[in-house]
Amino acid sequence: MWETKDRTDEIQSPSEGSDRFPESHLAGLENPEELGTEEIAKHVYSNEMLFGMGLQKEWSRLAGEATPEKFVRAYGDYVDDPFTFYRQAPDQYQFMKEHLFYGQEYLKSAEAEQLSEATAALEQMQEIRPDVWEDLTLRERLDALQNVENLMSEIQGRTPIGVVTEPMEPGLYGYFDGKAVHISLEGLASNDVAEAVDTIIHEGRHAYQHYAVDHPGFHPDQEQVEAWRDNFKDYLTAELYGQEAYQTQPVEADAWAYASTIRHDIYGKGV
Amino acid sequence: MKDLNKEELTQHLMTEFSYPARGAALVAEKLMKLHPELEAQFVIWWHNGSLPRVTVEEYTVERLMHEHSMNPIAAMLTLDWLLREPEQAKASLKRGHDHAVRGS
Repeated sequence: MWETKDRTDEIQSPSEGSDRFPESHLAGLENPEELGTEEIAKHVYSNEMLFGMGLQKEWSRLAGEATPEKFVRAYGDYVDDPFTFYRQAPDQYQFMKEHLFYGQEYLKSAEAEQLSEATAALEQMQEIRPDVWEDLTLRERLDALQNVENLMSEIQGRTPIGVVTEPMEPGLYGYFDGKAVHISLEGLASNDVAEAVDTIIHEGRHAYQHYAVDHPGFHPDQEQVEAWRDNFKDYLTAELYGQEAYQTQPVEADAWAYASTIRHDIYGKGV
Repeated sequence: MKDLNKEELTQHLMTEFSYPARGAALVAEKLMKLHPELEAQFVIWWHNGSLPRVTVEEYTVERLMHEHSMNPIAAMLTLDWLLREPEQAKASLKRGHDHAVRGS
């Protein structure tokens, strides 16, 4: 189990300032060290040497629209929020990586390592294979999901919590109440094991976020932890604020990206 | 939205729909920017309670209320998202939602 300590110095974070951008993105700019990601993105967008007709066409196909705003937003996400960007728009992420950033990535190594470790460990769990899952009783399934939570908590370095089930309102697949992970009875009874595992990892990630808020230095990105802290105080439910506000708030965007990555790696694309 | 005032919207959201102050301000801000296809129907609903009948990507206000437990306001905001970013919105709705609440 990881110790609870400040791991900031272990992270290969991109260096501050214009050093983190490819040199070609800064060519022609005056005082690039004073510019933010957005200004540099706009410069790249308007530079035909960097973003010529061929790339523009390919980008339009992937992004669905060719507006500068969309490009600038994607460029900023690639640099400043790569983990979420990678999960939400993998084709666009690959485009940025291959055609504009020449393979350079900004994913924080510690988080990437944790995801790899989780995937490798979960792939060894027989009971969450689809062909095994479908023959399990509800009790056995709940035990299997508890094993998923136990494994994830160990990898993440936090205290494991219980996994329970109950019927839930339409559209609600689970929740974390501060003490336990709850999965809907409908989700547990479904043969869609990828969905069930995703739920446990997603809710477990909320437990991780809570743990990070309570233990400064535990999570490498303190700015992100502050965003989680603020978000928990003003949490936006889908029932009152709509799906977009719910989905894009910091704790949910992070949990969705985290769980989706592992789910995709274990169960494949489209699952 | 020329027929409604943001401050009035905010106040009404708090008094009639029990939104907290910050949440009401956030919702009012979003409602003021509703897609033109939804704006007129929202105003009608706001004044007389008739739910909009618009369909976006096979979703209606009623469907979002029944299948996702949304109130009419949340449902209309979701239809707005479906109009602006259909693929992302549909993928999110297919998954559903959870609650990440802090324990006592």
